Amino acid sequence: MSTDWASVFQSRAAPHGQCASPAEIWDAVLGKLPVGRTRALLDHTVSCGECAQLWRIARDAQASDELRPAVVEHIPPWRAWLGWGGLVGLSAAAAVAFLILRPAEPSVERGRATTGALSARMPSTELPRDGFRLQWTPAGDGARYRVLVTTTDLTVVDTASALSTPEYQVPAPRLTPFAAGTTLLWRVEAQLPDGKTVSSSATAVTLR
Amino acid sequence: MPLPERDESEQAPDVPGDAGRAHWMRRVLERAFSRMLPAALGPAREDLVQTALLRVLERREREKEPVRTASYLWKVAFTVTADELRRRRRAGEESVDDTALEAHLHEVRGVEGPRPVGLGVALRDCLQRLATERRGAVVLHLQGFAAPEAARVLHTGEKRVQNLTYRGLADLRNCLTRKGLSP
Repeated sequence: MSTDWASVFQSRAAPHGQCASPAEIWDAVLGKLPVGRTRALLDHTVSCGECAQLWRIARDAQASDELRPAVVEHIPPWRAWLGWGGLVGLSAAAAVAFLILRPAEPSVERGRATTGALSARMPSTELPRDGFRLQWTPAGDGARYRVLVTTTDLTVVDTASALSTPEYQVPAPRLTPFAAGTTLLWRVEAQLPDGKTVSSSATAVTLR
Repeated sequence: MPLPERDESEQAPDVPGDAGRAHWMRRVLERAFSRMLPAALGPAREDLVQTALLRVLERREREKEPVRTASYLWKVAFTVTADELRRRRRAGEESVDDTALEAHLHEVRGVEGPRPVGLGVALRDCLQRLATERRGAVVLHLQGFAAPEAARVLHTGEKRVQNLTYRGLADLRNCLTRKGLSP
């Protein structure tokens, strides 16, 4: 079939400023968002192919055996008042309410528009321990940066926060425990003046 | 109606020390990325796993709370995947994959075949004219959501979703016919 659905679920003219955060899309597919907000996100996918793709990815992921929740039948309110059926309905509703009202895990970056817009700007993939300077693309005026440096097994080597310039030099004493040739990972996150957060991917650097 | 997250069977192992927990997290993330990464991001899988691990670690450092559930890690994997797709889109490296939607076109038009001129615009317009409830069900249907999945998303029953989808698709066909786009 030759139909170009990209022009239906349009992507090029997508109003990216209105795109939901990935965490919100994930929650919507899980059924954890209020239905009004869910409908707003769905309406947005009609004109945003990018978000439509994320809905499909979230759906496919949540259909995996590892995450698939047990199916709970929806009980219409009127059914709860039908005699003994009402008792059954109330019991089911109570069971469902118990499941729903259990303390849930904290959400991931809820409501934050992380876009992965920062990227490393490194002259080399190897750095000397007395000049272990990390640099990245600036996120704009007023941005404040936070850097995390770890080993590949996630032992924290160094952290820095409230940086106002897009670079950070890891103090040499922090690198003393590591031999030359050790691979370290780093990542930066920027807090923008409007409250949004953008972040970089993890970057590997070898200690020289 | 939202469903409870299924965490209990995939909790972090009771292993002392960071190494055991990091190993468990990596295994879960690798499974998650294997499941959800589009083919175009396949070569970046290992980098994305590392990025996800660092995000988890940052949160742990910030909130002093260890990660206990696989569902949390899957959500992190999804956010990392989404961020990377959006980054590549904005950099012009990747186009949106809409092929999955194509399979449903015949349901709207009632016939398979090449797309008439203007169908995309007309369909978007017709979708936006649908009654709110029907539009939600139809959009999910066109995205490949089965009725039980759509019912969960829309907090309603499966039968109602089927009804909304059926009527919504009928409205869509009528709308297209009025625009002169009948099969």
